Amino acid sequence: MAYSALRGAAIRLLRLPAGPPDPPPGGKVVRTFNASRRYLHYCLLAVWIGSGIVFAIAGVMAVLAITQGGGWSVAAAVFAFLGVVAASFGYVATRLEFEMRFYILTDRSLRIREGVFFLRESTLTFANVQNLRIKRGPLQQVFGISDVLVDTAGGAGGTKDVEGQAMKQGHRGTIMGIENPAEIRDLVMDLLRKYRDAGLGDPDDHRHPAAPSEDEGERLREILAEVKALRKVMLTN
Amino acid sequence: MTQDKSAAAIYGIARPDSKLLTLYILRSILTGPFFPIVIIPHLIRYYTLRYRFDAEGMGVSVGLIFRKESYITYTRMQDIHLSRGLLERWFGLGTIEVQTAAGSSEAEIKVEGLALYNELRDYLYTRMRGVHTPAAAAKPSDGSASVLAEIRDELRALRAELEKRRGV
Repeated sequence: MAYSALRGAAIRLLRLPAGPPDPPPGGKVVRTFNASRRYLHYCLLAVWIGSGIVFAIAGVMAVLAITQGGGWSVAAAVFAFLGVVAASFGYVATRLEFEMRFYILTDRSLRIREGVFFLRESTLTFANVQNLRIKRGPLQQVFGISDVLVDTAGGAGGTKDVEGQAMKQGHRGTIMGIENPAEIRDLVMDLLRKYRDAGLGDPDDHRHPAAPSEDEGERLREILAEVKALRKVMLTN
Repeated sequence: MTQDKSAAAIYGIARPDSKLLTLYILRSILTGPFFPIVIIPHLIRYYTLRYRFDAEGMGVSVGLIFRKESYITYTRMQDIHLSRGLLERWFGLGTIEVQTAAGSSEAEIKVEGLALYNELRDYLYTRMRGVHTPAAAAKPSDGSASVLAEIRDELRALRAELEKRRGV
């Protein structure tokens, strides 16, 4: 198939890493998953609409070329060519973007890899997670997919609308385009709760002060007795 | 042992990789006619970039006329981002951005031109909050009980000596 050849060429040319990213060191991988296939169709919709518009323009120009002749036929050909380029390039880029999207959940952290031209891997520990949200737009509803937003402290910068740029910002991991958002959210919630209870592992977390051992108490009592006796000896006389 | 070794390699990172200079030049060339304007801040940036990694945190300083220095402790890291643009991938480099809970959505610390990006990310991850369970309630050191016993013995000897001198 033409796609696999193009894909291979793109992977070589773009130096894309093969396979999912390495999970964070230590820790146990709970689940590795990808975006839903429906997410691909959802993203491809924009490509089809975009190239469709270009083809429509080419069509209008073709009609003009037939009715009025002259230079319109050249313009129609150019636009038709542009439409083909946009459709094929858009298709390969979108499908690659879909295939290169990975989510790794370990017992302590979440890692998200995304991007084709600009590759980005975000890692965040559950200890820092402040809030979990599920987001689903009207079009996503049609496709039956949702995004799970995992926010860490710090807010995403005030006035900016987080909608389209969510994944480019810090303080957030966006698990985009999955069919089972509630399941993933609950899974993350569970992991979160577990490690909140077990202590966050802060170096400055001293919630369990060391109790003096039995032995130490005994020695201290003996020293006290000895000092008292010492005083007595010094006072006699 | 391997932990110490990787930490030593990380502490050794003080400057961006020299390939970053090539990357900056290439990037400036790609801006076409703006090359002479774009290249200057890039050159200044490359030659003034300094990194510092120690046991507690990490710092970046950059700039000649406008200097910028930032330092954050590892425990305050909120998330770690490794990004690799197309040119960076061709050069085998990576950029690590680290965020704290401060308000801005921009990265507080950006470590550019890293050849050891994977190692650094793994190291930073192990220093992040919530990666380790607390070392099960630090046990009282074994030494203290024996020290107490020594104090006791010393006091006993002192009393015995006193009693002997005073003829009690």
